[in-house]
Amino acid sequence: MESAVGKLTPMEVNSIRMLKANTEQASEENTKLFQSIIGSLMYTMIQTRPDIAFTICFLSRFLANPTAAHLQAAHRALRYLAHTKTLGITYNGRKKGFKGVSDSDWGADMDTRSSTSGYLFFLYGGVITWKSGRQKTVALSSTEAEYYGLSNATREALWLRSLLKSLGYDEGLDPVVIEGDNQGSLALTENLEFHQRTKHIDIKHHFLR
Amino acid sequence: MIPADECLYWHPQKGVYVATHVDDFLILGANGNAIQELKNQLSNRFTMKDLGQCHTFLGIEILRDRPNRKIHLS
Repeated sequence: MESAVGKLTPMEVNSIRMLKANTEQASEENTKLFQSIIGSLMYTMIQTRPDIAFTICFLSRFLANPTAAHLQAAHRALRYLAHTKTLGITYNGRKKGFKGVSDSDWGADMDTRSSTSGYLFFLYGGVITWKSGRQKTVALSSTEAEYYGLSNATREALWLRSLLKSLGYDEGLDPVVIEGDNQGSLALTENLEFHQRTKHIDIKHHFLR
Repeated sequence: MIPADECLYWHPQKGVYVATHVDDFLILGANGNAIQELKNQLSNRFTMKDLGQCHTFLGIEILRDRPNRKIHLS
């Protein structure tokens, strides 16, 4: 990888739409290679690189049967890491504070039309936990997708809060701030606007209110 | 033991934390004497190697910037 041309982003724009499931069976050799690259990327991602979480989450859907394009995308992620290998996470003892952010796409997975959401939690100016994952249910609106993402983040927040409290940390825990960017889903957390387009959203998602 | 995470232990009065991963331990605390005391007690009971100030843990490189109160993981 030393001589490889570096890349500034882990993924090609629009590759989510371009990379489709394989219609034929991939060779055993390519499958093994793909799986081992994803495995190595996964290790890096879990340790200190939340920036490639989405890429790994996306490419992992094709572990059993990757196409040449998927393999190329995995190589691109490696080149991104080669280019940005000095990046890490910095915690600043002077920046107290705890908060989370959540975001979601809407139905971007072309094979299942389910949405992918992710969250990050920050402490002392650095990321402490992160996740990117495909939602289990199909969201019928971007509001619903973002709302479900917030619900996932809230579950993590509850655990983090109990952990931090037992460690004696108390800044910004009551309440925990989780930032979302979708007006519809934020309005829905404030109060239940029971109209035509949101009435199917039920227990699991409303958990965060 | 901390109820929220069973791999994390602490002593509330002495303010010493121990994070465990299988056979790798990370001991943290603001009080150097309390840490040394714990390390002495542990090495009396178990065979263990003291690696001193932590530079890597589970493959994560740890860089400190004490004057600016920053810690960097990569």
